Amino acid sequence: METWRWKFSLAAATAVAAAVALMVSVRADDIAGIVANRQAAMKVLSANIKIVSDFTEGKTDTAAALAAATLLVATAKTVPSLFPPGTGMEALPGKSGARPEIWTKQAEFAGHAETLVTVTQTLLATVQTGDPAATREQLLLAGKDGCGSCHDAFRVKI
Amino acid sequence: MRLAFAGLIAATPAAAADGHVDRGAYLFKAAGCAVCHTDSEHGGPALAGGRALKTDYGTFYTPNISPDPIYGIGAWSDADFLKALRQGVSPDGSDYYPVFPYTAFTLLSDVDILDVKAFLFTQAPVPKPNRDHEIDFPFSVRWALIPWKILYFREGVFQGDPRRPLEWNRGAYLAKAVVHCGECHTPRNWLGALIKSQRYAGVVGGPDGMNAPDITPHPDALGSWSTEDIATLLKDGITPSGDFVGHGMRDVVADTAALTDSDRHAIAVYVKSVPPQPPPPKPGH
Repeated sequence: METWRWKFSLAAATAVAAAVALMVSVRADDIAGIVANRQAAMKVLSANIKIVSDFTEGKTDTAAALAAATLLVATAKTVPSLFPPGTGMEALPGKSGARPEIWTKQAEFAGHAETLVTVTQTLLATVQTGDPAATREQLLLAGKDGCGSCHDAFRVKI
Repeated sequence: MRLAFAGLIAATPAAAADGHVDRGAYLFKAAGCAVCHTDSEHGGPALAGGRALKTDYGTFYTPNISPDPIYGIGAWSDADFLKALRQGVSPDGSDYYPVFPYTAFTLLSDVDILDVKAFLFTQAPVPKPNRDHEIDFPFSVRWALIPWKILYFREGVFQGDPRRPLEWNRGAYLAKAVVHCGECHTPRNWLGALIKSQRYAGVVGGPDGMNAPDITPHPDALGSWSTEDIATLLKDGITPSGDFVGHGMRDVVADTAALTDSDRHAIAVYVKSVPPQPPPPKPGH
């Protein structure tokens, strides 16, 4: 079972590419680039959630899920840096769904970002136990508290 | 034969078949009644209504459906309850606004409707008065609903399609009559009636400003999803790409999660079978 290796490489490559592109775009002060990279980071999150989800359904092994959960924690930690002021939906209508409240309610937003780190860390710890059922439970909790609560408050669907 | 067939479709799973109250509880949850009839946002008591539903026609405040005899429905007879869900008419004879999805509930079997009532009457009565709707003219004129109902409302119990498998029929019954997916996912005409030829094609800026995506098997919608993918979404709220559903659908999933696996699978089979429709254009594009 070597599939986790390429999955890991793929996810890692995406994360690195996103991070590199982000640095470049910040330097260029390119709003469209920042938004694109933010969305790429969100895709890294969902792609790795998918791998953990596959693990809970017996479709992939613990090693793959461990790699994915590790990347989830790492990516979660970058979330606050993905939202420089002036890069929301008003700056790029139709492309960005980031609501202006992100920058007017900064403490609340930061709280959500911290929650995302906490829930992904718990998820990683649960994956390490190798228990698919417990991981499923934690994954759904992470989706609700980590992703959903912030999206409800600070994102519009585009 | 027809009757026997309809009976099979409306058969609530054995797990929940201990009695009318349990069957009613199962259907009540699946239909998401409490989502609208409880003002959760302001910590309102269960089933006492008062949740605001902002629409293009004004703001509706859901009524108290707890069994309080004065402020709720505690004094309603079986006939009153049947008339409300089957015909969209209140015990005093006035027509309900179709924001109450009796256009869907009319499809429910008598037994299912009365089981829901049996369950409701086991719940705590809440003496909380209803709040008047704040609806814009001319929609505020109740008798305007009479021509609306003539144009758009078809009363009657769900009739299955005997040429289709039983599971498809069960799924269609659940999706149309119980879970009423179309209330959010099917576009409406300018008078708020569902456009049935565009079933599940998706809505931008629906009630409370929420978007409901296209859930037909169109390539730009759920075309690549398997039946299991749809069933998993209804259970866990997670999409095949690893996204989690947003706020409106999360409330729905909290309720569809309580369905049996076979009922979720049946809904997925039905949803997979509707004609593909292209998604609506997105604003700002």
